[in-house]
Amino acid sequence: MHKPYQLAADLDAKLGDPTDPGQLFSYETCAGLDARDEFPAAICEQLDNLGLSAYYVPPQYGGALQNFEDLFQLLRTVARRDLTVAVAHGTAYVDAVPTWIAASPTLASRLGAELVRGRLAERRFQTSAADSSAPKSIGLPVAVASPAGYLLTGTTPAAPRTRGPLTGLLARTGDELAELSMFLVETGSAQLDPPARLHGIRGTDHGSLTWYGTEADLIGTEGSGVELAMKSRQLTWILDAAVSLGGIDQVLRLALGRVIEDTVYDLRLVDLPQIRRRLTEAYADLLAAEAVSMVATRSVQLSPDELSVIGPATTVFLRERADDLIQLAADLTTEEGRVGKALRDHQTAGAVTGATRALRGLAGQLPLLARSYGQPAPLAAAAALSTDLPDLRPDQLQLLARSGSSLMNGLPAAVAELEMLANAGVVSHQLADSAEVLRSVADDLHCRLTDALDPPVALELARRYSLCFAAAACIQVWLRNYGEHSKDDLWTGAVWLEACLVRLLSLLRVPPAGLAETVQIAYGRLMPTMVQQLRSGQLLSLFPYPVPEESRA
Amino acid sequence: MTSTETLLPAAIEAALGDPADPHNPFSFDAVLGADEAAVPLPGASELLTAINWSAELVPRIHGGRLSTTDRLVQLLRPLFRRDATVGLGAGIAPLLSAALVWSSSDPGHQKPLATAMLANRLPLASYGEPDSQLPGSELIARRYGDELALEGSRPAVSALTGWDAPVTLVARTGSALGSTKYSVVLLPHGPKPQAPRQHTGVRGLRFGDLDLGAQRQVAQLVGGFNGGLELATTALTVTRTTLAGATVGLLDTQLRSALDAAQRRKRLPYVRAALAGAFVDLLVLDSLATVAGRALHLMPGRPASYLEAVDRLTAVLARDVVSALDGVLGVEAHRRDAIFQKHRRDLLAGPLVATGGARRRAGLVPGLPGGETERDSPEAAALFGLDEPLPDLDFARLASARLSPGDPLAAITAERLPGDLLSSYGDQLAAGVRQVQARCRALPPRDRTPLATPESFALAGRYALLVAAASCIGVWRHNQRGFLQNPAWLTSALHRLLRRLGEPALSLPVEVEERVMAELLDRHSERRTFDLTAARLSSG
Repeated sequence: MHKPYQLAADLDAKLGDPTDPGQLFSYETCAGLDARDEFPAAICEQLDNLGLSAYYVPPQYGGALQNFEDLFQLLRTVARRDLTVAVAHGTAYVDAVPTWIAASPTLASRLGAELVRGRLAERRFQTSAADSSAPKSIGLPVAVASPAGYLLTGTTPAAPRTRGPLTGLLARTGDELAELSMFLVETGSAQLDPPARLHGIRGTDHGSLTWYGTEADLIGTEGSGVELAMKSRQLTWILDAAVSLGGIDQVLRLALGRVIEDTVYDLRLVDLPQIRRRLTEAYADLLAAEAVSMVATRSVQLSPDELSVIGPATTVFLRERADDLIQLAADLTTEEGRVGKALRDHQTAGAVTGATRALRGLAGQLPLLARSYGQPAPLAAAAALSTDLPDLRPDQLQLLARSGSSLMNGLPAAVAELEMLANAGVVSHQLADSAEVLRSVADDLHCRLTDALDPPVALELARRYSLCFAAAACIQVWLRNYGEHSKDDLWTGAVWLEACLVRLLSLLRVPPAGLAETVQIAYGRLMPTMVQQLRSGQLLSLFPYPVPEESRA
Repeated sequence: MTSTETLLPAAIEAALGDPADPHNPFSFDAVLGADEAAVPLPGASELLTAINWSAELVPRIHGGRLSTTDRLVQLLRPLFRRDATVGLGAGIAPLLSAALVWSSSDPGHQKPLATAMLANRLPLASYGEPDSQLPGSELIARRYGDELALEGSRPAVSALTGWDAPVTLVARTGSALGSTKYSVVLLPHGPKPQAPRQHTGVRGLRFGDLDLGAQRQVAQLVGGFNGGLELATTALTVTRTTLAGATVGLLDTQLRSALDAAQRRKRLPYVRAALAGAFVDLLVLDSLATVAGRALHLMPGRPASYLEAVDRLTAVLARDVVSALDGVLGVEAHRRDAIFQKHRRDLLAGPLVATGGARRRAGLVPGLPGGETERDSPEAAALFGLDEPLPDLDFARLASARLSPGDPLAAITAERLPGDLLSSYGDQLAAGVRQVQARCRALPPRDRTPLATPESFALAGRYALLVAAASCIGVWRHNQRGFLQNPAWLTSALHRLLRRLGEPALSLPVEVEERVMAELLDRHSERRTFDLTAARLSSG
């Protein structure tokens, strides 16, 4: 098994069956915590004890974060049980990223030690039902240099982590608006105020903090705060996608179990062609999301200079697929409990992490992407799972991907490769034709990415870009790995790829080559694998493994 | 107030008072407090009693004030703007239950139910698939001579005042494959469910299983034995059309919340586009729902595809409006002390209450026209003219009407629209209509059943958008007054519908969005509603 999946499977097995109320990290526990707005402290402690926090810390600072893929799959596994817990626990990593990118080794080691120890103080304020807690003041805290270091005064308008002993934040270091710097500061001396209460991810940990001349450590250089925050976002956008993917995992399994059980008009729901289609499309979405995640997480170490495109494209694609799928699950199951919670959690998590900014961030880079499109691209090592990953080099992160996306630039060559494989009888001609249609959609899209785009048009094109990006990721993941899966029904003859391309074309609102027949054949071949994975208690996945969740099918 | 006096939407709005006033018992804060506590809005039930609300759900021939769906929708809008839980609990849910009886031509049950309702005993609504075999949702009725024996249970939603109320249920009375038979039964008192559930939305209401096997029930058969399907179809038709119209009220508040929050950001292009787009979508939904409601009166044999179009698109448009505004509001959209997130959750549970669970069923048969054009369509001016008088809603006639396979609204898209841009949109839509009709004519019968192919569902989705476009064109053409006569909203509406159809449409000139935005901001500052009526709100 691919190592990150092995790690995830191990964690999942240790956490036990989530449908068993006797387990600490069960669906029932999480529903109760949500009803009481309670921080999932005991579950977070269990995750700490199982060593999850160590994966938030790079090895040079004492942790186990050798590989971003490990972190992604572990957090996805947590999110598959509960989105709130994934956000509550994963925030510690999000908060630490600027430190890993730019802080001095001494400072980073200090934070690393804190995180690995998993020593998280209890939340020190209680949210009361009555307060409405508007932010106290507008504007950032101010940091003033003194002989002893920087002294921080003021209130964070954002919602930082309040439980850990250290938190990262932006503060002003000059009069100009741009003079912002990133600091690491102890939370112990701050005054804590509860956050605005939100309708999703209710138990998560955030609030505003006020300092009165507290010593703070500068991360990076003075004035580099905004740039550092933007580079950190590139990494955390990819991690946000882990939360979305875990949400997809959870609700699709739930919906599928329900639909297989349920009947209407004396017919099994799952036997109705329209229901079958919607579920198979959802499964194709999940597989495409997995392929995109895989390329994105591996790119963190293989092509850090492209993350300004890969990060937002990944998060945009996964968020939209997750929103759609959770809604589909809500439509198919009248049981709203877990689906309703997933819906709220996913919506609010997106707002808190600024998911719309990812789309705008991508839209802003479109003209640059158009200019670099067509440049020869190296072989997509990020898609080849057997390729070893180099260490993450934060100094290579760039605010803009100057040479565009090598994944997208490699699309024409990959499509030609599929054409050759079709001629050799390895894949179907329909698949090669669909890929060819996709290439022309991508060509056409890049022609439309001019400098003067109306904002709403730019957003729409950015959304289409994320779909083309996903298609390119799927093609590369299949091409670079199918040799290792010669006995796997999902991989032989590119069954999953064919369905994913058909699905992505329909999301792009472009008819595939061969129209209805192509679509029917592609989904018809994919459906049995989905049912088989569910029935045999496996993760619904490109790389299935047994899950501890009791199957209801 | 006696039952014959007229109640006006403005009177309900005035009775609800200023939503922003912290001393108002019906303020948004109070609504949010009730939602958090998972109870119905305190005082709402008393307020409705004071204005004799129940009479609005009893047809005039039975002594109530229910005349047209148009009027009922307008009365529900202030309730939905304030608290959808009240609107659903006191309006839509009892309507679903009562409509089963109003449709039955059975005076023996109509009279007592009318009397009970006029004395403020509103019925409960049951929901869920009548023929689902999931545990807890299957109800079977058997007849032994004059006796009716019930077995099984049905999920139901509580009234604002709790469980002690009459309830009508659809039970399965025959189960041959492919020809399941249903009958409607009326219980004077529903049994109290054992373990009521809460949903993510409408937390003030309770959902629970009425267990009818546990004790012997005095059940009365409404309509004939095995005659339940027509009644259920009619009740769903009226209720779903009414809900679609009422939903406009909920979205009105969502749009207002976004405008309130975006005061300083409304010049940003993304924000402007999202706000103007949401406003136009709301007008599209109102046009669609209003015309659908009027069609119930004027074309009792309206094609079933029409209702499906309304249903399908209400969900799509409402979801799109909310998610566009979510982007404007950011984290504000998720604050528990703000009304936006509550309304959003209520929207999720709304269809459950309104369709007797048929939400999922509705998604199981593609609603497609027969492909013929309608010959005996009503006068266009009567169908689209918002001030044109309507005959009272005739439930029994709706239940007995033979459904027409025709397509009454296609004709309107064939008429030429003025101006280059509008006429180019109009031509594209007319071509789309012809294409859908041609494909519908060629469909095998299987594609009009639950075993239909996904492609015919996609076709039904296209048809729904074309019905919406036709409704907008009709409303614009036949209401030459105020902002409604301004081609800007129609242009933007058709542009958005074409984009949803995936058609390449000529881009929209900047002036169109500016005109729409100007109207939106005017209405916001003058505290008028964003729907077709532009009515005044309680001052705030």
